[in-house]
Amino acid sequence: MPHEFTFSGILIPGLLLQLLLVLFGYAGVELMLARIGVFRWVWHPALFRIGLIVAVFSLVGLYVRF
Amino acid sequence: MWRQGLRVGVTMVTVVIAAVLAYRLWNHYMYGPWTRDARIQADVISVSPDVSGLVTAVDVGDNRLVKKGEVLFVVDQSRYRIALQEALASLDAARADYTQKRAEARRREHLGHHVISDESLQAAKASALVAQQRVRSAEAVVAAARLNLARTEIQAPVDGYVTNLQVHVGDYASAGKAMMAVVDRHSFRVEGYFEETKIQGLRKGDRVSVRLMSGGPRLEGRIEGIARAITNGQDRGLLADVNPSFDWIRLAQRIPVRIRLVRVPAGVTLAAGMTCTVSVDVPKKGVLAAG
Repeated sequence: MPHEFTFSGILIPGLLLQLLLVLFGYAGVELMLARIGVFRWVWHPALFRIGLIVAVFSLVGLYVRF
Repeated sequence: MWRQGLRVGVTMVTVVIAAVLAYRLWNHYMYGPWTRDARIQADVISVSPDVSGLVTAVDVGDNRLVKKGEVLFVVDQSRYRIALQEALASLDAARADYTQKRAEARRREHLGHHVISDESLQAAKASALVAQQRVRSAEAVVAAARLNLARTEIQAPVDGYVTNLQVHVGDYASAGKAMMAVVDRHSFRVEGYFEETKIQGLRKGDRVSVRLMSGGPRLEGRIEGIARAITNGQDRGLLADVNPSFDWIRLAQRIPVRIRLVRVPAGVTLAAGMTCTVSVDVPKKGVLAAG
């Protein structure tokens, strides 16, 4: 499990930090995917995005340790 | 047509992968054998004097490491010295009395039956015996006085740390009343409060790693035992008192699991009460291990 991080004296679960990182990181990925035209190969862009975010977040939550 | 199929396929594969990973993350947080609710614990011995009196000396400082048998504080010895003197005096008196009675009995024994009556001889022998027992009783009183005097020096019962020192010279120490707390330095352990949903993944002897809230290097431990009973919070004697407000939502209760610390890295300061995270190292089949 990720370690807590301290924000002005309050210990916050690492998972929250990971979620924020993934969301911000995904903004960049989204731009990149749009540029190379991945969405042409996608049936339901919104569903695809959600799936991608959940998958990346779960991977980070499961395997990234700090 | 094949293009539309590929588009549906890509999307669905992404969704399935996301679902599987999300399920694993859920399992990890809900059933993985780890908890963030664990505390460092240690035996705290409340040191109380065995004799009453004014405190005349405090030989230790707060938070100091003491060795077993080291004097912690001293109760006024004057009264116990006087008691010892008195006991010694009584012993001498009893011995003198016994010497005299014994001599008397022996003398009478050597006199013939025509000089002294049987009754008188018997009485002399009996009083010698009584005097002898008085000596033994006086000896016991002396031993008790010596013990009391020795107990005025209160010693550390274990190797450990003096904590929250509140004893000062001039305080009155009552026999049996706790005056000082000593934390046994060899008794540090971890009490992990695992949700009941995670208990089945734990076995006695499992290796665990312990991480303090402050971070730093990990401590290693082994599960020593799992508590087999917790109170349900509303135990009323022997009668069941079932909570009526129990419908849909259930909260997992916590079961204490005792963990023996096997290795504590040098330089790590432990204090009983610290919060830490405990996770079982060896993954159980079907349950993802926590790092």
